[in-house]
Amino acid sequence: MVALPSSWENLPPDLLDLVLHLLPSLADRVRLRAVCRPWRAAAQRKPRLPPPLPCLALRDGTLVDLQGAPVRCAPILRERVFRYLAVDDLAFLVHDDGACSLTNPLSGILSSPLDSTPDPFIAIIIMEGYGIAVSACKQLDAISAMIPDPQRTRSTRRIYDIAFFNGKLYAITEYDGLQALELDVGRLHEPNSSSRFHKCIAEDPKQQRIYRATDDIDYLVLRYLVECSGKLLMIRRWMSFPHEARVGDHDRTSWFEVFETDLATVPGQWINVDSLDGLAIFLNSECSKSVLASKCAGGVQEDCIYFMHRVFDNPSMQYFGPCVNPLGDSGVCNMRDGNITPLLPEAVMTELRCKQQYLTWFFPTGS
Amino acid sequence: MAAADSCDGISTSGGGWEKTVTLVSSDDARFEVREAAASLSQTVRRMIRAGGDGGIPLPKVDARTLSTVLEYCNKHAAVPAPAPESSSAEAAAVDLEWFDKELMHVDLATLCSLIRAADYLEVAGLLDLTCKTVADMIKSKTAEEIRQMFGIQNDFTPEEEEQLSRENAGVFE
Repeated sequence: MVALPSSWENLPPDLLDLVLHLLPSLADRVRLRAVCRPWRAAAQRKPRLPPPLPCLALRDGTLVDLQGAPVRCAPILRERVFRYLAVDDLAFLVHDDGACSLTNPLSGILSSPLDSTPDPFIAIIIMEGYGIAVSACKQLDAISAMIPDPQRTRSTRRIYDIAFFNGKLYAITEYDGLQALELDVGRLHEPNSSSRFHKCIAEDPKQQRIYRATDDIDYLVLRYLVECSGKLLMIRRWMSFPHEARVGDHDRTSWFEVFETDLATVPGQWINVDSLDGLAIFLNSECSKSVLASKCAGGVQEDCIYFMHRVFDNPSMQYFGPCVNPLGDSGVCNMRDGNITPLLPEAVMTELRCKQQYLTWFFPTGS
Repeated sequence: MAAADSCDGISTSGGGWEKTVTLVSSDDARFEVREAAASLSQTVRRMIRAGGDGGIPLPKVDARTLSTVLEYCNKHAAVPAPAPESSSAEAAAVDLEWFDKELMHVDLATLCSLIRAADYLEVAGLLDLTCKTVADMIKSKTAEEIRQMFGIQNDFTPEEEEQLSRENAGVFE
């Protein structure tokens, strides 16, 4: 018998599969598939790869991966698109005439990849936080919904973050209030039937947005909603800023608190949790996402919250003037010990800083 | 590592008595190895259990590749297990890491043989090490760069090329 021939194109598929599992970036996987026929066949044999690492989607429509390498994609911000939000692997576009549309920047195909997704809705906060737009993806159209203020007629409650959970859209309001919107895909175009929120967790007036810590330092507490393996979590992000500073310039995230919703009781309540059970959470307004770190292709740390600079109340302002450094207050917070480490290598940070752009997460699918 | 002609037996190594086994490569080179080191290969371990005379035949691995595999096994089996948090454990881990890095400084044909041998011999640590090395070489390279590096022919027809570029239309360079 003779020794095995050592040619790379005939590397057994199982071995190529092992190599693929060690490539967390979607771009690398795609390029590997394009090397030769045997590699392509091997790479397509087992589609169940761990999800690729998220990219950072810049508001100028470009993408970079977590190592800072640019990911090429179709131009997202076209003429008359006035707001853009990356949601999973899609870009939600709000046009200047109020119309909304969805596109997959990696394929450039409008909305069709959604046909197979189990979660056909997409939502975005509009009207500076006083309303939301919901779209059933196939319809390329959207409805808006608001939460009426019970104290004041013709006035609506401010919404701080939204998340889909068990087929409903949840919204967090002031004082840690939680409201849910039932969504009926067939009747989305009938505003009266589908745009009513109902209260799940009552507001607690003790929960403020800004706390005075000392004469010089204030704390701003941001709230995020994120669905995590069958639970709906609220993350409180505590940020310090000097009392006299211009908003946003000197934000320093100090720590996070995690709460789970208990909706079994009426009214529901928040329960403080101290472990993320191996999850990693990518935090951002309207598009937070959790992944099981051990199921990722490497590079994602478990029990960690990945965060970037907060998005400001009026993101459309970014196009008109310089905005704060998008990575100024970013990092990875390990919830086991509370330590915060940098989000990206310093060189990448320096490069992205020049772009003066807001960022959001983008989760390419592995297919 | 030199090929040895001795049979299975007992030899002195580092002042103690250790059992050794003989492995026979595809080109009939014989390697006498400490059983503890050889047992890092699950394939060899099974064959030791099954017994037999005249050495363990490994018809899918040539002498050159086998000697590198055994270099890995000898080093990794030699590491004693000190208290997990002692400074010597840390030093040993750093030393092993250096050793692994040095071991991977091989030409690509050798690496290709090593990855297959690690798979066939079921040396989990070496398989992981070789796959990581390959993955690191592939990272951030274009398909054409990967082909050139590994000496792979582009065997796609122009039609398939076109389909590939359509699939990845404007996605990645």
